[in-house]
Amino acid sequence: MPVGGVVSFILAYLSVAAVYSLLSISMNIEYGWAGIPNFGKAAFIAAGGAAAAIVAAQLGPPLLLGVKGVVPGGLGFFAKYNALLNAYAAHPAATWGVLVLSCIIGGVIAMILGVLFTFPAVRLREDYLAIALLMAAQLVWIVLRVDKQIMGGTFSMVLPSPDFTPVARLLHVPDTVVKVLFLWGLVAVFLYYSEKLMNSPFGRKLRAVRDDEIAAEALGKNVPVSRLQAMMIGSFLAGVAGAIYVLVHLASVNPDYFLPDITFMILAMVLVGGVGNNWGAIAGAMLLALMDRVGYIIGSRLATEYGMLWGGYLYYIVYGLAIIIAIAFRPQGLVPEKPVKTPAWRVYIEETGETPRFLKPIWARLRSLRARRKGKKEG
Amino acid sequence: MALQFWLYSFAWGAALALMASGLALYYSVSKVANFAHGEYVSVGVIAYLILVALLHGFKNITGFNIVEPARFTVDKLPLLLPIFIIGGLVSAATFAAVFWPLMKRGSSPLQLMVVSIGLMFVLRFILYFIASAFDWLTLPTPESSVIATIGGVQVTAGILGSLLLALIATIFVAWFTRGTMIGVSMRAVADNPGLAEASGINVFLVQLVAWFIGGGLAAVGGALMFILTGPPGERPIVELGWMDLLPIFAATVLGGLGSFYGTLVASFILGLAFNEVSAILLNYGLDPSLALAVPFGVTLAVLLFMPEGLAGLNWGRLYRRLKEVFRGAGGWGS
Amino acid sequence: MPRDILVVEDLHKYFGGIRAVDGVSLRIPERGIVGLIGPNGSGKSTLFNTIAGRYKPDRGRVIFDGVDITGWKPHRIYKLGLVRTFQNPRLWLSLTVFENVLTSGRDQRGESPLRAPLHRLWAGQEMEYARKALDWVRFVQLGRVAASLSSDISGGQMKLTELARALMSRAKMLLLDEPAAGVNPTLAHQIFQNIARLREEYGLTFFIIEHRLEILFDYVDYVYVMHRGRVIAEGKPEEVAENPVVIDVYLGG
Ligand SMILES: Nc1ncnc2c1ncn2[C@@H]1O[C@H](COP(=O)(O)OP(=O)(O)OP(=O)(O)O)[C@@H](O)[C@H]1O
Ligand SMILES: [Mg+2]
Repeated sequence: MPVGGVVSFILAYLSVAAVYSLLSISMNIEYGWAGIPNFGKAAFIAAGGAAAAIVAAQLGPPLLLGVKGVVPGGLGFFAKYNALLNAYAAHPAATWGVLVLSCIIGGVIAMILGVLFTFPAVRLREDYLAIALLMAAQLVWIVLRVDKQIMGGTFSMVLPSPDFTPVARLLHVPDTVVKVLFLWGLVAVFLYYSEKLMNSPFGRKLRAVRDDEIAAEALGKNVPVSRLQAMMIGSFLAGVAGAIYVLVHLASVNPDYFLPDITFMILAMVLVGGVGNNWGAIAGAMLLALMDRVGYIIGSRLATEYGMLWGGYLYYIVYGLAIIIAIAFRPQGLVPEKPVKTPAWRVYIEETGETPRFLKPIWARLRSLRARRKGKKEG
Repeated sequence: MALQFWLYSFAWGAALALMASGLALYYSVSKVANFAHGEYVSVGVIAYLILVALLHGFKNITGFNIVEPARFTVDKLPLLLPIFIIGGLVSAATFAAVFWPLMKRGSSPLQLMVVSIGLMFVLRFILYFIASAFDWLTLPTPESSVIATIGGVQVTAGILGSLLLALIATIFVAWFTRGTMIGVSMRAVADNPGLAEASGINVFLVQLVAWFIGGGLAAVGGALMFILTGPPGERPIVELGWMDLLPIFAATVLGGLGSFYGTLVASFILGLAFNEVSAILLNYGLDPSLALAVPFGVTLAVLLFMPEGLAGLNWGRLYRRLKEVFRGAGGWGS
Repeated sequence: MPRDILVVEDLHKYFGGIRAVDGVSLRIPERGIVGLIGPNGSGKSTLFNTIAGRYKPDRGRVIFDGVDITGWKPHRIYKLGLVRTFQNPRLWLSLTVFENVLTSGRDQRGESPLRAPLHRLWAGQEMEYARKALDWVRFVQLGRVAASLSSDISGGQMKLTELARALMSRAKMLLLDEPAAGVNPTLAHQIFQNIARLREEYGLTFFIIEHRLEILFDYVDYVYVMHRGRVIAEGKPEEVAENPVVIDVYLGG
């Protein structure tokens, strides 16, 4: 592969890995921290996608461009919409407006859907809850396909991607580099927020509910409300991430992007990376996205050059094996979950004068581990 | 016309019943919500095509060439037996290789459910591999020979096969769970696995057999559903099982997860409702895929309002009540 | 005469055909230490579960602190100040012993997802609670394992963690299901002495299930005896100990 090919591969990989990281952080809040099998994740991502489509065609033009919007699905939609896309191309700021509006609207719609789907089902046993969420998500997918006024039915609708060119010119780098940096900046924001959110009594409450809900409710935790809170936050983040996914990464939208496959891919990333660990969720996303990309390249070669059509479905085996191997051999994931860090541990250290091992910095832990090994050998 | 439609819906319900009762059967003993069940269904589709190809000595059967040989006729009914065995073997193998070791290690129901997703993906890849090797990814609906026309209603081999197999499966399971050692043990394990194990029942073997039968029924149901409806929408044929997975769950939930007979009844009800609603939607020029809302709506309603499904209803009381109502002897109140 | 903080009237709980609790009525006075005894399977734990909201009663009423709490959810009953422990410890196994105790503190400001990311909104309360939690951990003599994961401690230590967790909740009344099971007699006596001390210091009320009557009878004011879901005897420990019905039940199984 020529150098240019390698660089563009890496950039494409980093871009998709960032998007998957956003999604797996949000999935981790539900599955990792609260133990909710959100098999309907695709619907909440779709909320972001739908918001992007609505903003781009219907809300954005009057608000950002000062022209009339068009409703997808009608006669002559594509001609009118193409004119709008040209107008967006002439206004970089407007494309950013689309992104911001889509993130907000997508997040809010996803959060509302999260309440609607989960509120009735949240008391159910986990397998029923998973089935109910999956069915609800399939229903959303069908509605998106049938109702052509949202994202144009089954046609792919091109979206006005946020324009990175001004910044790229300033920094003398290609657009895609800025895009990748921007996406990873968002990952940092998501990570910062979820670390802050979870290292708190709230995070501890979610773990209590996950570990033993009967004990949790006996000790004053409202279990359904706790689950609902986790679902609302996870769904909001998924809605935001969904808008970013279609606007920044794909620059187009189609109901078929929101099949349950994406749900299970994200779930695989959480499982592989670390259940209940935000850093692990990112690690899992990076690892599986890499395997996914490599598999994609090999697979499309097989399909196009050798006529082996199954090459297009290599991702099934990547994610399927990842899930099975993770559950069978390392259920805690690559980066296991850490104790919840709150000021309570400061009090503990003050009062007892000793620092628990898991709170020591990593190098101190390694040193004590090595010392213990040595001691064992000698003893 | 209406009769034809009812017959078709009934056959559809019968195929669904085969698949769903398979899930109910092993769910009752293993309590695993297995998302890979849809792949056992797709195994049935591929197995049917491969068996047909085998009958033609694998000559000239790639791509659309398979459609003509795959025409379903009464003399192909015996093919359903090897399909049952193939589906059963796949299902039993997944149980023995993946679920059982994890269950023994004390994995949570949540983990078992998640691992079934992984299994679903792996099996689907294998199916894609086979289907694309024969160039069968997209096929039209195979024809089904008309065996009789009664009062204008055509009975096709596919319709006959579905109804016949659902009947055979019911009789077989009834005999098996009452008349055989292992079937009786199966009920004991379903009621109380700990007690069953303590009283010397080989819990592994019992579950293995349940998974074998369950997967076999799924595959047979899949083959028949393929013959009845063809591939799911415009999607590849190996996604038939996945497309039917949620209706299958709907039927098992409505039937009261784990109840064989409840699931049977629920499948017929869903079959009629689903096809009826699709037809109505088509009549009004709406997209018939919206009819999937029926199984989903039913499932959600059941989960929320009668979590034990049809099997949880007190049929005796319902019957007495109905009798009273019809006699005018009293209302539903009191 | 102190008022009755807990009143149970004609409580029934059936599991299919099993009448686990079959018409139990009892009254617990405020600041009392009351024992509940009975052979295995006599319905003691089920009675606790039904009082504390885990099971909905089939019939009867539960009144706590003047409020009818029949059929309430456990977390609401907790809020009123009635907290229970479990016979088989139900700890949050991915949390440390210290955190198990800390988590059961009441009205934690940081438990709201809106406040949680803003640490300064709740850090003060958290540190205050941490001190209290550590006190309770030491009170049940678990200081040494406070920072261990609760999945790594012994069964007896788990029971003690359960107790500390219930104490952390600042309840008015505790339902303790065999708080000293799996603990050696010396430590068991210590636990009961501490319970007596807690009553004096904080005015707590205790309702305690215990199998070792010789330990229990030294500390309780009053005892209820259950058999086959019913209260078959009640009275001061020394009266109950001599009650022929009770002796018959215990010796006869
Ligand atoms: N969840 C349940 N489902 C069905 N039966 C139950 C359930 N919980 C308890 N039982 C039954 O109710 C009866 C009373 O049980 P319970 O646990 O209350 O007794 P106990 O007095 O606490 O016994 P022990 O001294 O052994 O703790 C027993 O026969 C038991 O099998
Ligand atoms: Mg008990």
